Amino acid sequence: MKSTLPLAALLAAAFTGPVASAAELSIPHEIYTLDNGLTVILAPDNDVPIVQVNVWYHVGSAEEVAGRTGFAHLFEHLMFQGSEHNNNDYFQPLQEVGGQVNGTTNLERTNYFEGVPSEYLPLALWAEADRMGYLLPALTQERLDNQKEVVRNERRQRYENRPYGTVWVTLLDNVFPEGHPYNHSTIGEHADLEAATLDDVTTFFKTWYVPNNASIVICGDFDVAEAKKLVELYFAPIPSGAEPTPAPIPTVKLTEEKVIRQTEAGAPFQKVWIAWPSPGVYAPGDAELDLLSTTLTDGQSSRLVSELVVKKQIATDVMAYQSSFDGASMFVIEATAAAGHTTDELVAEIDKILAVVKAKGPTVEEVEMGRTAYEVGFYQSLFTVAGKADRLNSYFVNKGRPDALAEDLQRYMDTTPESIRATAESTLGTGRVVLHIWPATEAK
Amino acid sequence: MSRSHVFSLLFALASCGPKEAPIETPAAPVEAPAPDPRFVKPEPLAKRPLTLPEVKTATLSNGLQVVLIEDHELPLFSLQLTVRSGAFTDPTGKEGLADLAMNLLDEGTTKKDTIAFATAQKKLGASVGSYSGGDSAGLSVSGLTKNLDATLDLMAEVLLTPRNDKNDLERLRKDALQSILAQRTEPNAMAGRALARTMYGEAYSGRFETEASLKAVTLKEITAWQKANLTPANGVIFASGDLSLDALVASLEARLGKWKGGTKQADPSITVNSLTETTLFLVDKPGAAQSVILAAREVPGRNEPGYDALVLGNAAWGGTFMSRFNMNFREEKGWTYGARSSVEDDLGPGTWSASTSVRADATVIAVQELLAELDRVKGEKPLTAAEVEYVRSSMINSWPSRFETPSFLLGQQSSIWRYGLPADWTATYLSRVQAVTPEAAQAAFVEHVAGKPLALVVVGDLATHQAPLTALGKPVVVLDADGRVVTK
Repeated sequence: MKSTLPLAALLAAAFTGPVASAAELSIPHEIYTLDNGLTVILAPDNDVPIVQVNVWYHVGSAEEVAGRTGFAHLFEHLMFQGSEHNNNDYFQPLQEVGGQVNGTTNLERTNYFEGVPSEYLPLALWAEADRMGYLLPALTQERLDNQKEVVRNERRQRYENRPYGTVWVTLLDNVFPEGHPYNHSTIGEHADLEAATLDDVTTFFKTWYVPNNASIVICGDFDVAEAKKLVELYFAPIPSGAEPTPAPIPTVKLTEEKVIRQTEAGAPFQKVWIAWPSPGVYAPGDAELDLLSTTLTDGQSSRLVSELVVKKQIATDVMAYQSSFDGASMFVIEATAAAGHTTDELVAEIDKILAVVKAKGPTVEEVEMGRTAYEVGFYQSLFTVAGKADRLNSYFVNKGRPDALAEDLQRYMDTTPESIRATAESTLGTGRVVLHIWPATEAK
Repeated sequence: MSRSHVFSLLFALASCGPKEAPIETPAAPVEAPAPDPRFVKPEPLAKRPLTLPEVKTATLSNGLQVVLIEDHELPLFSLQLTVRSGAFTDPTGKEGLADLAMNLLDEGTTKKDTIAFATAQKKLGASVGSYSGGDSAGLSVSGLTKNLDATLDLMAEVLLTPRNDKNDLERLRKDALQSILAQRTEPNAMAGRALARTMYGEAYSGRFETEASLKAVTLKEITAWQKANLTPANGVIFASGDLSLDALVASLEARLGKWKGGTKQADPSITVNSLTETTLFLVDKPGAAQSVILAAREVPGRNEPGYDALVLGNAAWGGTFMSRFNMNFREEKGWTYGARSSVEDDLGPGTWSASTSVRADATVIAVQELLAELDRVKGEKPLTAAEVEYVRSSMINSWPSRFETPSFLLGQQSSIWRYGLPADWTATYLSRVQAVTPEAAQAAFVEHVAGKPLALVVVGDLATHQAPLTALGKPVVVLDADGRVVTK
């Protein structure tokens, strides 16, 4: 498709030129702050006549108080239940004009987004502003009660009624110690969801859903001057609130191995997850662990896949990934045992291979292949305005400026076999969680 | 819609102010105070133009057609070599043949074993992988434009000289056996298998890979399958990305020019087991926190009369978040995280289906309510013009977003090629959606769905639910995790 973006030319340069040209990468944008503290990021891209509105509130399950696990996500649901002047299901006016609407909650932030035809930019901004400013007058006990049920059903559907569905809950609970903001998952516990009150909603809204704790990206085919006027009209009058204090995220170090063995009636085969606490997103070592994961499990020739799946055939799959969060992350290796083999065999074999990587590091060729895979994936995430908008907001929140593309890519270019080896050695130690889940019929 | 909404809002504001003393002869019309523009649902701006990308085609000297949509935004390309073959070609008792044949294909070449072939791809930042589905199969290739030739070298090498190693086959066979176990324990997969077996019986869409059928497939059968089905006469190439047609054709011609012959695979005939009354099919999942409910029946296919009207009728009843089905089950009753219905179409007749996962203790009442919601549409609560206009507006307005990446348009081209749709299938979409009257949408939904017998599958804890579901008075059949009737 046609593109008038300088991005295309810059990316082309990045691929054909030397690695250093990563420094030239950019997404053209404008950023400013309203008097009430709302950060506004405008990034035109006139490929097709659509526009994406993407709002981040800098609050996630990390900010939940004791006895209210799952509340940040429950609150996200309430943001779709109508606001004072759009007192209807949030989807109603937007889906009517072809909008793609949703929101997600994770440990450190909650995002809301809608992609609409360009001419409906005013509608999308009006709807987002109304729930940012005037959510509470539309909130009723009935709506809260209904969404508690919906979220509890979400928990049943996505966690409980799925083989291995509660793994994430168990890993967070064990990798991050009691009291750590990441100790519990975003979905929360049934009893806590049930206990949520209208007062909780009001307090949470007034504390966290203030314009000075939010940032909005508009990305797509729109007129910048017109967008500024609309943002001013709808968002500027929303009063700011007290400056919220995000939960501090301590780094985590486990001192010993914790082995958890579970059986599950619905589990079809033995699986194992090995999880280590690891450096937070953008911290030293974060990019190294991303590249380490490609050395370990990207493709049939990677170290763990070639050994466990292709040659020894003791596993049917194995996957490594750095799951990056603000402040503290998890590095995870998960594997499925082939019939007739046990997850204990897999852990022993994985440990042997990790010992080699920790001693000798990846080869130069492995690092280069990993970088290439990362570059391609990186650019693929910019194919859509939705992807681009979320990336701008993410960089803004994490790096303090929306366009940190070049710097982000440069992190990968700066890794060396030695820096990856050293990170593997310091991160993948004996302090870890090993979670085995076996079919109930195979319990020892 | 939005204009009338504003007027009614103005009216509401004007009429609910404080009571005033009656004015006998107003000198001028009373003006309502101007509403704050911040709080009034805004009118749209002027539309901005949509330029549809051009679909370019060429034919290689071996007769293979190449379809390209250029997209120069990023220095990447992707390409699919697709053939008209898939699981439907599996003989009875050899279910899994096409799957294994395609899975084995990308495990290496006569010159490169699995690991060397994977390394070659990674060095280029490329991916060359095979896939297989019910009615199509092929190779999916993507990479950096600057590495086009080297990436297509790998594609040609694996297509023309696959390794087909016996040890690789045994490994893949073990994987396939293991994935059967997963299919039997994931509740949505269980429901899908039960439904397919129920609706299609021994037609290909009702047959699944089993331990016996996977073990029965031989390497010789696999190589024969590849030779018969992976031919230029049976295939087409769909490509997109930072490519020119000339450069792509030259690169393909140099690598696939000698790949010749073959025949076009004939499509299977597919018949559906018709039900004479709505029947419950129950699959046990002991202790399940939720029950999966999946109702379905056969409906007209894309090229048949009534299809477009049915699509709009379905969208209004259950196709979107705002539709009756979801609003009732999720937002009013709170039984579920979501409820949707859809119309799907590939080879054979179309399929209408409605699905939801409900809290276990709401299983029976949800089954009753699903049937009641369908009854209402043919009785006291037909689809309204407003409901149909709502989904029509949604479908028309979301059209531009489909062209943000080439994948939608290429998918449309693929359907035109695979299912023999008219060449202007994409171009006529908006006019087809416009042509359906609300009455026609209502009539089609009743004719093909609401007034017809359904197969209704429930996957849940049968110790709890079987007796009360049976008490509903519909015929009940208990199936195992493979969709076979359980006889006691």
